[in-house]
Amino acid sequence: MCVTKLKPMNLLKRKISELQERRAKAIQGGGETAIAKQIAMGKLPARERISQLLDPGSFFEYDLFIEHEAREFGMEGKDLAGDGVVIGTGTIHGKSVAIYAQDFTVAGGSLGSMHARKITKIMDYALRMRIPIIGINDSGGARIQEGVNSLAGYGEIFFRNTLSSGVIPQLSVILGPCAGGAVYSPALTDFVFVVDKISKMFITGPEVIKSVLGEEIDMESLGGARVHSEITGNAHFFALSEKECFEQIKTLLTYIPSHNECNCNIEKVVEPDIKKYKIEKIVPVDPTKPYDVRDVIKALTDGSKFFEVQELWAANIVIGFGRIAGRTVGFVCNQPMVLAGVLDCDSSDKAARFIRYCDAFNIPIVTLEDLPGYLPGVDQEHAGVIRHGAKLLYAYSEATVPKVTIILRKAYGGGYIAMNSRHLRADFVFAWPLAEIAVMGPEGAANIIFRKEIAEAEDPEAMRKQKVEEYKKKFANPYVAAAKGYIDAVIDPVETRKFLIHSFDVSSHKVVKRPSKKHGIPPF
Amino acid sequence: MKISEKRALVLKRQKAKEKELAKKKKEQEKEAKRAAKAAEKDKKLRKKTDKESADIKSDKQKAEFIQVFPNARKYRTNLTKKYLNRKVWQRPDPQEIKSIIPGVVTSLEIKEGDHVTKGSHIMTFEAMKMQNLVMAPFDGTVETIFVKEGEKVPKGGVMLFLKSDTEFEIIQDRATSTDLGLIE
Repeated sequence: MCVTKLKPMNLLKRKISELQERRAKAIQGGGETAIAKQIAMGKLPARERISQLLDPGSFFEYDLFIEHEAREFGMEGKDLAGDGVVIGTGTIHGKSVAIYAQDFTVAGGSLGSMHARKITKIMDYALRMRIPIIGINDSGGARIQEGVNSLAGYGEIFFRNTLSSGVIPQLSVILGPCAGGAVYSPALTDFVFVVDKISKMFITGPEVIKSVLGEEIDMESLGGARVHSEITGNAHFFALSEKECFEQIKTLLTYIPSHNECNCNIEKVVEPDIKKYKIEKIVPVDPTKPYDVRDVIKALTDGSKFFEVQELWAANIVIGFGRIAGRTVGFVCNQPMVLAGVLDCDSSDKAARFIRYCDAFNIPIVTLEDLPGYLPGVDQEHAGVIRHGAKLLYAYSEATVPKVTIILRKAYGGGYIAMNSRHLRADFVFAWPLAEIAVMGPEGAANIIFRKEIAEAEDPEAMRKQKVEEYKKKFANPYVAAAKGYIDAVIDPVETRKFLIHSFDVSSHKVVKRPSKKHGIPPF
Repeated sequence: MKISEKRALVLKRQKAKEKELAKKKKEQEKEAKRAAKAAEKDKKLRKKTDKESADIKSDKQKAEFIQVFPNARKYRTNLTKKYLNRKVWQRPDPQEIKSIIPGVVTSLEIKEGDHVTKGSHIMTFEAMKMQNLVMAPFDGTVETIFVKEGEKVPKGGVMLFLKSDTEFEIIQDRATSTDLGLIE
């Protein structure tokens, strides 16, 4: 009698143990030897990466039992666990995220049509649920055996990257090779994380370059992490290990909102460390002396915390996230410590893209201005500094988030206009007493305006010095611009944070009406 | 009954107190951990900023300057590698026939001293799996040939010097900024 009662339980137990067996087999990925190889290369297996990144126990996996449908070139009968990618959802610090991680142990992580189907599925979920999507790229490229189906898969992924752009944050983590067409997906996403010696991004690899063009270069120098962090500007965050990279991802997600119609989480207000960063002492009055503008930022943000983006590329402009009165704020600041803080092709690109990101996700922008102008040079002109500089003007004018500018020291000519002046519809423009707002520096201006007097004088040098002093007294101060209303107030450096907090409080429900259009045509 | 009830109550209260104490302990431990982490981060930050300020101080010996306006003030700053390695512009000589892409010289149709007319075929150049035909851009005599058949040429490599029949007028814009009335 007891035996018949146990039978249904036995059947269920058997079904459940079958499920657990199948799961265990699929979770193995490419098998133990493949996983050992992966670890020997210094990379973690895909599921290990996900479990380290997400909150413990919060990962739910989908499409574990997907099977590929390719039948040609020996694919028939090949069992590829999950077709080489792990997709799912989970939480990071309590915030829901969607995540996919390519599994290098399964057929080299190559992308076939079902692999792409899984990735597009999770991207569709992320867009529908309005949660951030994190993509861990670690793949050998397209699966040649599947032919055009792989290309179709890539195309679908790129389209969804574009569709979600500006709606949900898209992060790409390059933890392995990402070559050929595959590398366009990270390029279309918002932030790219690279790890030293592990990330490799390029369109054509060293072998192709050698055989077709005869140029010899190794993979790391062609498209390694440092190249993309320092030279090309494709990467936004550089880490020395996968662990550090995951910490950076978690920090970034605490700053940015989950989608474009929700407000950033407001945290407790913490005062900046005024003992360490005395704002009135950081900026020297002599306009030719450099200083680190990041110290000024840290003197203004909550807890003196500043999360810098693209630290190593175009270092003459500093961009990043901080908090002011608990709210996330984007910073765009000239860095006088590098190239005197001039604007050039790369720095304009860097700042313009960041401004558009902040505008898309309702993050207010603070601009700290201290630049002598644009970088002169034939190489700059021939590289198109006109086109690139115009991007910065376009981005600032188009942005409708609350924008506050603080002119710290120099603001000459085109640079004054480009760095979010009143004319590009900054909401508030404040200047410090040491500001010099003019068409150009006193020496340059005196040389041109008083050219005749200096040439005809008995002592040209003394006359030049006198004229420079005249120009300095008359124009190299913020009061000329203040007299016209081009700046809203001249403030004491110590009051800066107070002014910023009030400006953002006041402009939090800003309404802007623009002529209706499908979209503008920025100078790409 | 009353005594046992009382005992039960006392036990309950004791248990509740213990639970509270345990909770408080946990919270204290968590806070201690957080404080320790924050202290570590502060240390790292201090090390970083100390290093950076030391770097700025040591720059006094390096003294890199940049000028933005002529005859004007020099800004003391750090120069980037890209800026220091920039290519200095040189006027290109149209008589130098350069390669526009790295490749291999497949065949040469002319010898030194030959006269060629504009548009005639000078040489074939294999690049990107295509046989590119190089035509003469103007009438002239081949003065020197720098490459042999089968030789690999990098991008921008000079392949031959074609001396033009007519003198080239180097159209140099003699106007200066002041002539045009430019501010700078």
